[in-house]
Amino acid sequence: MSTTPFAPQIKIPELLEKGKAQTSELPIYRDGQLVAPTEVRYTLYDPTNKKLVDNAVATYPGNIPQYTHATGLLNDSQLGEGYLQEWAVTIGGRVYTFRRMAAVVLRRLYPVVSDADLTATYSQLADLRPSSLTSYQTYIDEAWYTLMQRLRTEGGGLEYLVMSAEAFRGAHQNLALYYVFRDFHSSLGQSNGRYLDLANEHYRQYNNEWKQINFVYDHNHTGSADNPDQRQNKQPVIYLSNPGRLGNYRWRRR
Amino acid sequence: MSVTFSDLRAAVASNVANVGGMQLAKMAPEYFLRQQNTIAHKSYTVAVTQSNATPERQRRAVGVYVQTNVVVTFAHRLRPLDVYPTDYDAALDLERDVINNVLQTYSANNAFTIRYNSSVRTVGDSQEYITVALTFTALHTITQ
Repeated sequence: MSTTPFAPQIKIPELLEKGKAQTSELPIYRDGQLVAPTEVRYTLYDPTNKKLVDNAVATYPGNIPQYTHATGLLNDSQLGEGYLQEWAVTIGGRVYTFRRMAAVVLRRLYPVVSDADLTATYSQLADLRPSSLTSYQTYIDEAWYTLMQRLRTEGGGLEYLVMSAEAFRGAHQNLALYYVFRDFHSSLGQSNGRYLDLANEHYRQYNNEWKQINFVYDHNHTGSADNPDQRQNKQPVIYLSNPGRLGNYRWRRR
Repeated sequence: MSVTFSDLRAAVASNVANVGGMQLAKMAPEYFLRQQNTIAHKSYTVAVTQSNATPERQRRAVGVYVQTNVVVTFAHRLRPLDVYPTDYDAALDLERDVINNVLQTYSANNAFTIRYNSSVRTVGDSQEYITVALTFTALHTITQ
């Protein structure tokens, strides 16, 4: 069996919205190019390992494996994590199986930062845009995936339960600007310079913004905020020690 | 016909301004490189650097026939991912346009003649801009 490490492009778990027809894709790369499959089969498991889609034939337009879920497919499925997509892709006469975690959700979370938000803070940025690009969208998208991934890996919550999308704006904007200026700096082959300074500045701001993120959350998957008046911190503060003794002592003296 | 030094500067600056996007810098020519980054792209300055009398009688009624050096300096932005050759070439093309427009000064105003001498092109360490200094020589007469 071939062990060629093909690379499926998986940035974050796939989110499948209830009650909607939606298409999942799985581009697979090797040597910088899309791999050309000759057959694709798709299976979707729920958290109990029951097959919701069983080895269905999937298409691959433009060499990108693709499966369209029917509108009612997830009507009886429970909301949340634990779903698994399995793509059996035939490449060069061999079948490779790629897995991707999935979640069934009521709503996706969409980013609120666009190209205009970057150029709004740097008027010069529009003029510095590379001739090969019409916007800074690639940097913005990459920053978004990084944020969503970090939210999960740090246990900060599940993005699709966040009701207040604007909570990520500051961190997202600064991380995107960090990517932009770091790329500028990298292209010039310098050891220092204005673009590196700006990149470092925005990375610091991104980390500060990240620590301060709080949002309105929907713990119960109801589609509405648990408590709209109370924002929840992304990273709860956990105290592992007792209150200081000095405070008790001073209280007793009174 | 008399052409003062300021007339000469203004005539050259006016013709440079006819090149698309060019804008006169607010800095004195000697401090052109202090122009803010955000507005430096296609900004230019015109310096009247040196004048020498030509061997003439300098009769009062005719005036002094002089040869004046005019230096046009402009900046062109180099985008980080397009420094070379895309934006470098764009700057060279702009240089050609500026030279052509400055030389049209003569056809627009018979009071003086002007010719192109040389170009000096410089890319700073930051690689954010290329500055081009174009030297011209103008022949004109000044009177009292």
